[in-house]
Amino acid sequence: MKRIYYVTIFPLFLLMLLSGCAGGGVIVSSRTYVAGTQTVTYSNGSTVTNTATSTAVVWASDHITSTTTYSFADGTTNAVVATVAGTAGTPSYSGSTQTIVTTYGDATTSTATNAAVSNVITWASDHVTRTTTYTYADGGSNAVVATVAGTAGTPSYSGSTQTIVTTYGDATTSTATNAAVSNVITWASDHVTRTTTYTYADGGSNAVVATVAGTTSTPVLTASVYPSDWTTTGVVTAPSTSSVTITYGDGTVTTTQAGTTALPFDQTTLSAQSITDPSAVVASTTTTYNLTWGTPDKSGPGYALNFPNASNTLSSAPGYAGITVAGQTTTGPTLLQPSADVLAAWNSGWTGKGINILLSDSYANRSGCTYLNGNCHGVMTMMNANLSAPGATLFGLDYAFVTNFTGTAFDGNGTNLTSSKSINVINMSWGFIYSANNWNCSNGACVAPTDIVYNDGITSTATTHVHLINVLNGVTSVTNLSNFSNTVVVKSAGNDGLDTKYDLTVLALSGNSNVQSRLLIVGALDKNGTVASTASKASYTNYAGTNTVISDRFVMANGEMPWTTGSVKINGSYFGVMQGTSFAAPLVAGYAAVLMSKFPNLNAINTSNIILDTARTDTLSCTPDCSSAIYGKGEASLSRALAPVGRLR
Amino acid sequence: MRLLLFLTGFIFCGYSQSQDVNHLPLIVRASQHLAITGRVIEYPFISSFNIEQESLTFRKSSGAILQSFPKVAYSAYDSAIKYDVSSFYNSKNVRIKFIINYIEPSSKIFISVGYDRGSQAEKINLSRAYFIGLTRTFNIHKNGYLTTSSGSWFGGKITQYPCIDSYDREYYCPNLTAWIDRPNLDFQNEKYFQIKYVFAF
Repeated sequence: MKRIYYVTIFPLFLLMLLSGCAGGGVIVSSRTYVAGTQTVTYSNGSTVTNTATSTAVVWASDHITSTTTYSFADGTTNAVVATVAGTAGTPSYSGSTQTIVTTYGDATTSTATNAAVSNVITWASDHVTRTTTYTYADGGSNAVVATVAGTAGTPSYSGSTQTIVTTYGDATTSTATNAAVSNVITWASDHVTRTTTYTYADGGSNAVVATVAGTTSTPVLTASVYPSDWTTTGVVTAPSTSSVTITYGDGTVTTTQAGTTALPFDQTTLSAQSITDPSAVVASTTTTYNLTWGTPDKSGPGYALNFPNASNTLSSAPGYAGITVAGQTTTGPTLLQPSADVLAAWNSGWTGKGINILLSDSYANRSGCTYLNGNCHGVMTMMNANLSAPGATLFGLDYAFVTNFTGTAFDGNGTNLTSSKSINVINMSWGFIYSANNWNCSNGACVAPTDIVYNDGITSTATTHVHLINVLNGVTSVTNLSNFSNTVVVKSAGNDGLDTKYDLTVLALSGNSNVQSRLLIVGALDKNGTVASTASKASYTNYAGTNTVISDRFVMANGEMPWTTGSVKINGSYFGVMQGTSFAAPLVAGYAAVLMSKFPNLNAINTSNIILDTARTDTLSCTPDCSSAIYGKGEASLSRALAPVGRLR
Repeated sequence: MRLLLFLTGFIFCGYSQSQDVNHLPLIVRASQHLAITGRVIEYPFISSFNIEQESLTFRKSSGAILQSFPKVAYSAYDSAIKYDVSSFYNSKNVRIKFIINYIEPSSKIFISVGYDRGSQAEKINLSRAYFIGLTRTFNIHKNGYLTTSSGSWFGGKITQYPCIDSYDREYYCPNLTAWIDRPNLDFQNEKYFQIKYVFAF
């Protein structure tokens, strides 16, 4: 009881004190507050300012509304409400996102995540470094750097090379070319189909299939022992050849023909065996070994002399029509090699053996011929015929026979014939022209013959040409020569730079259907043409012309004699560079002989037609637009003429 | 059954173009077996049998290669000129070859007879051929045996024909050289004679 009482008394006392009892009885008239300051106004007008004795802050749930309650000594309070915004922190970024943490007065925080409102992409020069700059609503920005590798495309392959195109983010591309790190070669059962599988560093692979033809061997002399002196009697070990084999890329070797002495040799092979016998026939006391191909032509009279060797110098001076052709300082002249066509034929034994060529030419004074009087002309044409057909047998007859038909034919040694010979090919490196119908020159100015003069020429030579055609058709005979009715007729085109029809002999020959069907008219080139080194029409040569009967029988051949300036001496006279259709024609006559020797069933018509049909223009500088009015059928080609024509059955 | 192990002492071949690759080893082995075991095969038996339609490669009756022809022939003088000649060397007939053998009981001699129908292609013809052969094994001492075998094909003539161009020129088809320069096939009737010694243990 006593304790309860005390409690009751004390608050009463306190209340009195606060209410101004202590002031001696002054009454409080008002109280005003500003934040934590209390102003008490008393009834007597005095004021007392009191500071809050305590402060209590309470935050609303929005974290920005704060209520501060000030408590004063007189027991009153003052609640002050305020809005206190949060404090935004420094933004942070992740990719295109901006994050801002705001801290409020009540110590709580809020996090705002903002997407960029725009971005700009830039690429570095390395094409893989990309910078994306994001811009946010608050004006902030964030640059994000990323490495974006290019996208490699599907590899492509070429042989051993791999190519990969890589496309980058900036739309540029780069191309990488990679060599294979290894390869494996496999061969199909046909031995020619090779598959090369290349492997690359990225594990890729590429199979390349190729057809690799085998290599056919050249048969060579493999085992033979010969006497050191060809005239010595002794033992000759039988020669033999290696087989003809085909070696394939996979190492397989097949034999297509067994080695035998019947297989081909050529002089080069024999030379490699230290054999110097040009006839390539090895004789012993017991047997004779023929080292040449099949039924060779190589025993022909001119073959050994003309067979090419490294120096091109003949081992001895040859003779034509009984006239020696020597070098200036050596026993034999230095001659240029014939065309590749002719060499290939010789190496295979195609030299015209068994064929007789008559060279109707200028021999009237052959024993005393000199360069000046020109009678050595026949020696040269005979030499050129021999150059293309060294196995053929050559005969000569002075061209004057066409006027009186009383000439005497002779052999290649100049010995008059005593028995009849059958002629397979006749070469005529001459032509009749009316005396005034050639270039008509006056005071250094020359003009082509007029048709009037030309027609006069035809008339004036008509009788002679009738006689000639009679001879060629077998109507008229020449002593010791059988008739020419199945003889290839080769005629030079002439050297006047004119339409060949102005050569009256050509005109006459082509005008006779029987002769025309086996006629070859030969113009001159400046050299032997090849595809790699084409020949041009010689400046002096008559060209095929407008008469299609003539141009259809017109071919061309090298008009240069096969020597260089001053390299030969005939009958004591030096001969410089010689050129003309006279020397082109016997080359073609030789071609005809070579053809006829290996194909015995060929008649004169077919032989001449084959040469015409196989003439080529791809060896001429005019190719591909060679006019038949200029070049006729083109350059005569022995190799093409030897090959099959048309369908093979 | 007696286990036989053969030790070849020596082999001697007499003149031999080409031993038949199938027939000869088999007939020699059979003859040796007969000599060692005494067992006679009572019925004729075949030691070689072949059926083939030849193309490009032609064989002798013995089975050895006679000649292989190229599919494409290139001119020896202008390699730009070539012809497919394969059709010329496809045989038109099926070639049948066999050798049948009979043992003459009293003499124990193997008698072999054979037949080769031959092969006919457009550019090569191998005529039919016949084979006859004899084989016998002698017991020359204990465990030592000597076998003699001989045989020969008869017939089988080889004829080749030229390829002909539009100008009726004749070429040897495989290399397109002139027909008159064609190589000889150097063919002879195939025959063999063989003596073989074996030691059995």
